[in-house]
Amino acid sequence: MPLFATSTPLTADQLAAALKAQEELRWAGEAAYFRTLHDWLPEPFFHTESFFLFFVAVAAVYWAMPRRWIAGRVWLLVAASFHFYAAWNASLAFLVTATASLDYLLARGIEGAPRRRVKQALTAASVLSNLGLLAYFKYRGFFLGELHDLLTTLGGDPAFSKLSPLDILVPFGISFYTFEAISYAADVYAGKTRAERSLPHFLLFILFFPHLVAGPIVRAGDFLRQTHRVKRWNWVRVQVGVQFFLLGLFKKLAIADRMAVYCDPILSNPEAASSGAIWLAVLAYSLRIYADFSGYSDMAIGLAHLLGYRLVPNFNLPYLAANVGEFWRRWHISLSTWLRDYVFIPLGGSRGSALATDRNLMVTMLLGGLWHGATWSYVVWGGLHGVLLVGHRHFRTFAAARPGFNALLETKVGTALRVALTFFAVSLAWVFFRPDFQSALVILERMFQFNLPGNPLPLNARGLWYTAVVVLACHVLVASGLWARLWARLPAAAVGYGYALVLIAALLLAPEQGQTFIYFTF
Amino acid sequence: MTAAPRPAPSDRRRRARRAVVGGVVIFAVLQLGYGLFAEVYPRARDPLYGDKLVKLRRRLRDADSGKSVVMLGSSRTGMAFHAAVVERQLGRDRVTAFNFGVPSAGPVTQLLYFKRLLRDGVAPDLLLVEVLPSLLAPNAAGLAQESGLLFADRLTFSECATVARFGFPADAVRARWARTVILPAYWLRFQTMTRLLPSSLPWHVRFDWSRGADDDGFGRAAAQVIDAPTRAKAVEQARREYAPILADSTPGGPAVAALEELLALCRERGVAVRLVLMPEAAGFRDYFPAPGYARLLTLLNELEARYDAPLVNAREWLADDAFSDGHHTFVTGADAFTERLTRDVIDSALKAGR
Repeated sequence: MPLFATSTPLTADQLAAALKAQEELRWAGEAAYFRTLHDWLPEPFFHTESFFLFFVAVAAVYWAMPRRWIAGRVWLLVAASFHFYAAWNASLAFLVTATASLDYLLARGIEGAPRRRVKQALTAASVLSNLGLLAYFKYRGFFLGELHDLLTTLGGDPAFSKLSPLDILVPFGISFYTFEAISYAADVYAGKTRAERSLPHFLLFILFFPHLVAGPIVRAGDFLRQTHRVKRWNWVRVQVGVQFFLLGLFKKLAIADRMAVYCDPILSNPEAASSGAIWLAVLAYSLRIYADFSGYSDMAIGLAHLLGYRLVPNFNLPYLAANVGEFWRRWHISLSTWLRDYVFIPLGGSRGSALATDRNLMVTMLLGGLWHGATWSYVVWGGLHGVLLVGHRHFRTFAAARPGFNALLETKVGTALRVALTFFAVSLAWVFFRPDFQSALVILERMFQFNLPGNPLPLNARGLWYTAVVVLACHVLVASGLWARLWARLPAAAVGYGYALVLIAALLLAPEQGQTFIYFTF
Repeated sequence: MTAAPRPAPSDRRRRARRAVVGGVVIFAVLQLGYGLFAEVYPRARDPLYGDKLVKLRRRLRDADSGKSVVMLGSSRTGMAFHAAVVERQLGRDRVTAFNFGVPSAGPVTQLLYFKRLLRDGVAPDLLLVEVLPSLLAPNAAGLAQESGLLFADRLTFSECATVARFGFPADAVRARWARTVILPAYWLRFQTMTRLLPSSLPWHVRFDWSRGADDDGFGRAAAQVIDAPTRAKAVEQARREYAPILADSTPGGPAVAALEELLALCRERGVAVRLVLMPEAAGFRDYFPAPGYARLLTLLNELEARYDAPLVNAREWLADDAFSDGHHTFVTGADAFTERLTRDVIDSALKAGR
């Protein structure tokens, strides 16, 4: 479900009524064609029957085209991507296409401009138009809500509805494709990437449906090159794609959605929950966020492979990170590298004084938090990670000056303790990774009063522990390299059985209610 | 373990093709196989029926001789008809009794289950049929109330046609049934997971009602003593669920047609049958206004005359403290109800043979 751009709490009835009214309003102005499309493919999710049929149809036509007809294949994927998005919201699909076209033209202008000032102006126009889009759709409600609160504090009584913070639907994936467009303009300006000559190729860079709504955030230099290559059917690549997709599907259905059954009822009503249940719910939430987002990324990477494209890896066993800096090199890699390249380094990176580096880290992480959601809780979440990164930086300096202590930290036991401590800190920070700031405070308060009575977990905790152990075992198996060696030695038939069993397990373990992807709302 | 030598590209392509194609074929075969297996093996598709059938067969096999009594009904029956009490009262050598109550079972489910019992070689001498008033009237759309309770994942192909005759949306039922055959890993997942790892499922999607029942099919609530606030909450929940339906209820339509077909089938197969209005607490009885109740009695009296299916009106047999929520009984209530039912109804019916 898309987020409404507001920070003002609504009752469930108000939210339901607002959603219904908005849904009716938006479909009233759409062509019947798109309504039909919507009925057929109601949500841009990868784990539905309708998407499966959509993808099979697109892939079949794509691979049936002569391989030398690159333009035809690109146009097909652009059309498919447009329809994928338009099935959810046609107006916004046109908007994304139009802004992408503008970015294309501006980049051509940047490259072709004879003077530096013109280049700068055009780059600023591209960056600002994307930031403006982001601000209007994603942050308008946040700022209007804050304005409302401020005026109320000052003694005024502004009618909330007159500020209209609820009128705008946040487009799925806006944070992802605006960042892609911004980095493209910046790279063209810096001469790192050539401006794309072909509009359909550029549109495919922005609209390519596997990464459109929740990343990974692709870089033009990496992706546009691929759009010009001849794509040949390759069974090895198909196998990689199938493997990624199945892994992602399993993570989504069997872990993320199941963990939602444990954590959502507790975290949405923490006042009524016992301390023990909240601790377990936070553990479930940590597993859920990881499985949900990395599952989506895996599916996206798998689908792209099945169409002959390679997307950047987005996760690398993040919960095995031994410190928070390492965590960010393993978690949402496409975003963390984007923030590093386009925020942290331009701010000065770590080239200045220690204080300046700390400041740059804090600014980067606060912006990273705000990128995730237009509420204070995401800002606090980003700030917490900033504090952890700064703290780790100083601890690293402290430890480096004490070789004995440092060696102790690098032992197996020391590493295991650091991994556990990092997981604990990251999990506590996840408490703020929800829109409701007040609830996050209640959750922390009740967690650390330890023995408060209240509602237990809605399900027997056994399933949660099983899941935690399986996730940990898989992490260790992959990190040790044992999995890769074992996999390479398995006969093809056993691998085939493995695929079938993973798919069956994912379907069997799917809970009653499917959940949307958490990152779709960012 | 040392690293394996890197195979040639053509070998890698061949291995990849075999793995992917093999995976698709294996998945399809397993799915189709499971779908077909579930079609012929009732414990896979409808464990509510299948698990009770296993228990019933075991009891019939263990019984040396004597007659058999089976009661069909909803969770009310499941928690009220203590079949062991019947056997204790009449003698194990004389009668084998079994409780076939499963949650939300109305006339359509009862008809299907009775047909299945006959197909599976179980023809009781006496069939007790619970009459659940809330499921005897059609819903606002004119469909059987059970169409929202009994889904095609519990039905076989031929049963889809049966329910379609009784106010179930035929296309939707067939489409859902087809999905369970094509992709049973997903569409029969709750049945399967109930068998493999029941604690991983919320109670409302679990299919272990019948598995958790006693050997005679009787199901007892986990808590036999509850405090006043818990009882008040349960009563309120029952009120919200039943009062709106019963407030303006006129029995008729597809549910009554199913009940008539069940009674006709009993007559045809020579199975003695009794219709039972189950015990209810005074407060619960008030949800059913007098005119609606009168219409129900008129209908049941007509059915009694037409199908030789005497009505047992047990609504007022138990005191209020026999219930947890106004209509589900504790074990003490179940024992009292069953004793009286045995004394007043079952004994004489078995002696009369009709």
